[in-house]
Amino acid sequence: MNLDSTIPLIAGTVLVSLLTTFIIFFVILYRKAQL
Amino acid sequence: MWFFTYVLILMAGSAYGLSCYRLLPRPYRLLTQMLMITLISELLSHFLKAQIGTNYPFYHVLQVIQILYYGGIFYFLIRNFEPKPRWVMYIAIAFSVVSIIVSMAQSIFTFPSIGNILLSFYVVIMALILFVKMVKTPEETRILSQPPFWLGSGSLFFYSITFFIFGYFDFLVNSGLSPPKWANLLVYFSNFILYGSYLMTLYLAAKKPNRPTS
Repeated sequence: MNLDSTIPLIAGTVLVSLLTTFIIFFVILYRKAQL
Repeated sequence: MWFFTYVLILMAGSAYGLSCYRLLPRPYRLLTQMLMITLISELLSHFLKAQIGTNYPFYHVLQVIQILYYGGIFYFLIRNFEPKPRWVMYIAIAFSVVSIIVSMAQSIFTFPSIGNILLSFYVVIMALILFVKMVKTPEETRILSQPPFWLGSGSLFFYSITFFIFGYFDFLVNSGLSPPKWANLLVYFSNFILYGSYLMTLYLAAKKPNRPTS
């Protein structure tokens, strides 16, 4: 695996984690708004 | 095997949507139609690739249809929060026109295309706007039981990934390199998330058909 592939792989993993975190964050935010 | 699983999930979503089509409110009827068109397009493009070696022209047509369908879907969903949000459709029409012009300028044998990036951009922005409007006027129903949440989450996840991956593919194509295996697997993975969440959307939407548009 060369550098051209490693950096985007890390970026892709970070993106997936960020999106998942964002959706969890949205669920928490929505529940708070419901109260 | 990945393609087969992908088509199977897409088929399950389309079949479920069709089986309860009459129960579905308008945005989810549009979603079902879009899933059917995507399924047919994917099967035809797979066949075309086996015959002539490329299926890129299909994606150029599909992306225009999808922008318009998403425009309709988000129009009806956002209409629950503000009266007649015509701007949703105007942006979709503008993006689809630009997508057609770009496809002609770029050649329909190019992939990833700028139209694809436009589609991703449009859906991500609309999903975020939908989320903001949902938080501002929350319903009593649990968030996980609300169809717009699943539709928005799946769309946001998939189109953010494709925005990134196709941008990366474009860089590789321009550099004369081929995409690594993980990039294709990530696209398939996000496809499973997208169509899995659409299946959940249709399931929840069919369960509560009394609301006017969602």
